[in-house]
Amino acid sequence: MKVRFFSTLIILLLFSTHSANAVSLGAEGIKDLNFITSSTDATITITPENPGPQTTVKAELQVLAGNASSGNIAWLLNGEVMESGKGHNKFTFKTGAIGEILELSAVIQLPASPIFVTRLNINPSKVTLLYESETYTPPFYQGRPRHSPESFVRLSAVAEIAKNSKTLYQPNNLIYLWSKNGVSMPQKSGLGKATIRIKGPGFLGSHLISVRVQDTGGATRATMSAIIESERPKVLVYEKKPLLGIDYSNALKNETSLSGPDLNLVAEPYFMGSNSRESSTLNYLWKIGGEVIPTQDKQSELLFNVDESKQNKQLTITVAVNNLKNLVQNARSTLKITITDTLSNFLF
Amino acid sequence: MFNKHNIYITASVVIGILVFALIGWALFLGKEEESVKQEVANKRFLSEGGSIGLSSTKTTFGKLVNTIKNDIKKSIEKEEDTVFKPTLSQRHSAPIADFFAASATAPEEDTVYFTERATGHVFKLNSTNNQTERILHTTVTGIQESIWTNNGHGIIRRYLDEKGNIASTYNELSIIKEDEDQLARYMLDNITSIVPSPSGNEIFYIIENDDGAYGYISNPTGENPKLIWSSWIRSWNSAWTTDTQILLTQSPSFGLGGASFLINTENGDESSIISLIPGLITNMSPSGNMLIYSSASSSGLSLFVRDTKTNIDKKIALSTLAQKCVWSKVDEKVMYCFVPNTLPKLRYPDSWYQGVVHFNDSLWKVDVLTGESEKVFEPQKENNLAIDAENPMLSSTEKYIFFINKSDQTLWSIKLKADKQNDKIKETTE
Repeated sequence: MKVRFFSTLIILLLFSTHSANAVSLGAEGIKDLNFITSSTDATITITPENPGPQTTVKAELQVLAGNASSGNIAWLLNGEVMESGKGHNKFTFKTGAIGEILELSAVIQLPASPIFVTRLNINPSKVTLLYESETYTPPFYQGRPRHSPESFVRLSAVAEIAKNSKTLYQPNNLIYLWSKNGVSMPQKSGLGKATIRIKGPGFLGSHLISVRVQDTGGATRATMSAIIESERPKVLVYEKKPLLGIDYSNALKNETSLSGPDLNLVAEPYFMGSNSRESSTLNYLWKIGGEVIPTQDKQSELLFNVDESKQNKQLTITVAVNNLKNLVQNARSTLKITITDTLSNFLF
Repeated sequence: MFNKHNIYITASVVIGILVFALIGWALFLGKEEESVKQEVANKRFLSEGGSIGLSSTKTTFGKLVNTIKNDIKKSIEKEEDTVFKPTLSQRHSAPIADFFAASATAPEEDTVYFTERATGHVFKLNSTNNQTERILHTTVTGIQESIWTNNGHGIIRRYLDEKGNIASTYNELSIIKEDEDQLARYMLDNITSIVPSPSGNEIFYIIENDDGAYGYISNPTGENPKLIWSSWIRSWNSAWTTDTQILLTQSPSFGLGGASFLINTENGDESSIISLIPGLITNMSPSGNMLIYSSASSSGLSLFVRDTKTNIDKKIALSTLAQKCVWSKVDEKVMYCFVPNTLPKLRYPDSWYQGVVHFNDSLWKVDVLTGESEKVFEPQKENNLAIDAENPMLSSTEKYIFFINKSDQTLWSIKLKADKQNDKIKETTE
């Protein structure tokens, strides 16, 4: 209260140098300033509209009755004068952390007009929009499953909106408004609907997904968008050894040398719309030198023996993977493999 | 008037003085020569059959003495000023799954544990004398990952079973005796991620299903789990950074915005610490005060450090992935990063994770306060070796930085500081 009182005094002193009306307010003026609520004759607009924490905000004062740039203006944050002067209708400041609610006030006096006070509460809020595609990646893979045509996408809005200076709203107590390419998705939106699952864009397509999160009163909001783009899945081939397992650190290059006599190759269909490499929806076709080679227990693995006659000769091995449920999802890899030593220890 | 007698006496005295003076001079020179020879021998400044012979010079002996004295002095000064030269060593030649640099329980103790990929056997390595001891003989083949608990007294080995599921087994290492097999304790199938707490007496693990990802805290065996976090998004990388905070970062991919959250281990509260960073990879300092992160997009691979208290970012002038860096525990403003000498135009980190590309790294030391960095070691230049480092970790004394060479999965170290004792490590430079 003390800060506000002294700030008001400062404003009046400031204004008194320019305006006889302000001087005439006297003690009544102080009283009025402390109790005037937001004026409809003056409004503050801020950019961004819903600022997050630690965000630079640009505020502008607009007055219906006249030109704000001709008036004496003071800007206050939480009752403390931050900036003042003639024509100062713009003010830049930075928000604090989540939960640090700011009261932004602007006081203006135009020539031969009463003093207007307008206020705006700013509750720095944030929503993080996460998404991933329901596509396959190998076990222990550290990267994210990327989107392949028409795969399903899951999205999650993680909102941090303060109820007061100490507590955040629980996700279930917030309203989530989802839209795709600018068109709202009412069935996916509503109270507590922080997550959605949708069919993603098709071949070469993209979706702009947006979410607006607000409290039940609609006073505090946060928005975020993401662009989901589609790309072709791909298949990479790795060598599997009896003791070492699959060597995920070394995808086989298009031209490579391996030692035999027994070779076990594994195809990994990155970003196919399936749960696993051995999913029944995936079909693998292996060829060596153009000849189709049947697989054994696992269709994603090719186990074959190289006799000495093929030593140091290049074999062309092709693997093609198709998603039977989604024909636009297919991938192919061709390797030229030279078996350098058929008698080496293949265990490791 | 001088008579002959006086002249003889005077001449004799002068001659006597001269003789004594010459004898004294000769003795002095002899001592000087011995002294120089001794100094030379002590310093081994000149070899015994060296090209500079003391008697072969045409200069006067005094000048020679001074010249050699100066040379010795310069040699001593140069030796004192000599900067320690880091050295690269291969510590285990068979592929390993993971390693762990244990905290020292005694001064100068520098122990590293590692798991052999093909056998699952666990070894204890003395970093200083390079002696290795097999401490777990129970064979499990095809180990892809291992996690140490309780400062190396427990291990979780992870591999793919016949059905392609991720299997995880726990063994306590402290009760293993020589040649004794111990039955492993099986944990839940398909745990996608496990990280130990800083003290190692608990683990955080993530289980995925159709409803999303679920994060539990349990004892190292996986028993007594307590659900503390869940997400509709399933793909996460985790790190237990301080006693009460777990850092969860959405799995990265080239150009896709990523976000990280801190989870309070006591109440499960979740707070966003960074978001909208393409290809985001994070690496938190031991105190939680600083965060290194990398971004990867069409504009390149960039490295930043963020002060988590002020949220102020500083760009580090190195192009690498944050997971190729490790924080010093002794000096929090210092981190070491392996940085690719060149970056082929590919999509990172995806291509690296998929094993499509291998880097040729150099080791850099970074002062995160100033943002300055200096190259510490370049394996290509020093040893003609291409090293693609992953999982870097400093030993407890921080004399060594250990890492796995991703291309062949073998264990290596670079020695960063000189030993006071003789260095007994057999340096491998092949």
